[in-house]
Amino acid sequence: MSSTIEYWKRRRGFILAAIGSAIGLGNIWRFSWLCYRNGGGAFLVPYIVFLLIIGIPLLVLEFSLGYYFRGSSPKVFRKIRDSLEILGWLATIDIVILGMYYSLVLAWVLDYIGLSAVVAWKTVEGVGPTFEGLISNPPIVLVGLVITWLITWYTNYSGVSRGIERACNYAIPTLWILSAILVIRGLTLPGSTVGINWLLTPSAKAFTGSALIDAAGQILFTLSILATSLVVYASYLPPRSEIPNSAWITAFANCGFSFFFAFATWGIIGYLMYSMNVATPADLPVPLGGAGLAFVTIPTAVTLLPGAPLTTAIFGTIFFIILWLAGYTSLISIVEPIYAALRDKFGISRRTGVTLVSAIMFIGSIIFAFRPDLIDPVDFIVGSTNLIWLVMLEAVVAGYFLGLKVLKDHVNPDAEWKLGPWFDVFIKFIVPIVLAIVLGWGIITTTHVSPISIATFIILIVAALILSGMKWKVKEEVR
Amino acid sequence: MPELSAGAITMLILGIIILYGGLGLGIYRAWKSTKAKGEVKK
Repeated sequence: MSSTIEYWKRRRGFILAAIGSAIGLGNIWRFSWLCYRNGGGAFLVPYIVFLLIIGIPLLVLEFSLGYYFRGSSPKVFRKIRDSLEILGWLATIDIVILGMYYSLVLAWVLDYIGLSAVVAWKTVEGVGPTFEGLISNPPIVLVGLVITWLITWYTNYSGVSRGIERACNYAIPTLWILSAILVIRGLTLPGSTVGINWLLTPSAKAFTGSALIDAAGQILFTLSILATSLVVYASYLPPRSEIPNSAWITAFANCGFSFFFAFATWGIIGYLMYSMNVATPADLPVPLGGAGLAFVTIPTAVTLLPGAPLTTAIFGTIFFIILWLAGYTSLISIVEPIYAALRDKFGISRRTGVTLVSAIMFIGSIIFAFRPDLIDPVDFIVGSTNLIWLVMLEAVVAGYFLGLKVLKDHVNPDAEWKLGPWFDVFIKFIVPIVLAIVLGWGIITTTHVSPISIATFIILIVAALILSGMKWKVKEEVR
Repeated sequence: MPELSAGAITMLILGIIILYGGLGLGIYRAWKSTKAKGEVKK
């Protein structure tokens, strides 16, 4: 029944699930590339500053909203003010679309676990054509999609403690252990120190406008601040739970993982520079970040490892298992708030809701499998622009419409460190200003806007209007 | 084999202290609070 209250079994389970939601593909293929591009190790300075002034306050806010209102994003916004329900639906539909192409990338990753195990590309020359061959072959991608969606569906279908909590209890420690193996291998390769020098040697570039924007944007996305996932995860906390320190641990574990994994990536890039005898990373004929890093650079590097092809198979497979686990624990946190929104409004049971959501998103991901060129223009809206202004409004709504005193009074009695007046300053002033700048900069500098982006935005608005206009079938939610 | 530059070592130490120090501080607070609750129960 929809009224059955589900809780996390242990606080550790909640924190691991939140860390699982936060650690995603971007921690592995984006953070270290941003460091390299934006002043090396000096990039850590704006990164950590934004972690403290926007990341942790927003994480505390999302946890507090879920913990106080006990529900999904549409329910939270509706309880603050009836007319704001549409914001909750905008955020929810946004992640429906986001989850569609996110799961497609996970399907590629899953296929690559198999391809790595048999070193399907055989030689360095075969790496590029193998990836191109995969993305232009939807039937093979479909196999990865079916497996990814079956596992995700079963996790969410099994419930909060028996599904999500149990999955993250195993997945997150495994992720760290496998990453440690890659970090050790990366750092013991010849040339690895050259790579680490390129990653960490600081320069003043870290304090330019674009580097600051990159740091703020990365903090927002790396912590899974989507106005949905973490709100719903926190709504499953039992009464008298701790909020601020749980947010703190989640944030530092997530950023600590990015920093840790950067040594694997850049140790391997250093080895690649050594093997290919090039002087700078920019001279390498392979990408240093994004999907290209995962599907081209790492397979190229592991193909050149001493002891290949056995070591290629072992370390290639380990890398793609890490990538898949990071993405999988994020995908379950995308499915959960969509189901929760349907449960709150329409009284749908978990089994029906999770099955319906998984089926719709699976079908949507097939569209992206046939048209991977749609990912960039759609992502510009749902994976970037839309999220930034929604999270900005979330802060404004909580700060000015709801009033943060309500949340602080609810959270502080059980807090391991108290939310003071500083919380108001960050949520009401600093977060909206920083996010407005990031949003404006993103719109001005983007190269991804197309009619597809505009169509995506229109679909979002129309769907949110329809869903927010429908009647609440769950009586207890009608005020 | 080239060694790590002084700048790289500085940033490495900074990253370790802040990121893992922050994580350690959070875990320590949680552990202290759990311990205190356990003592109250006793």
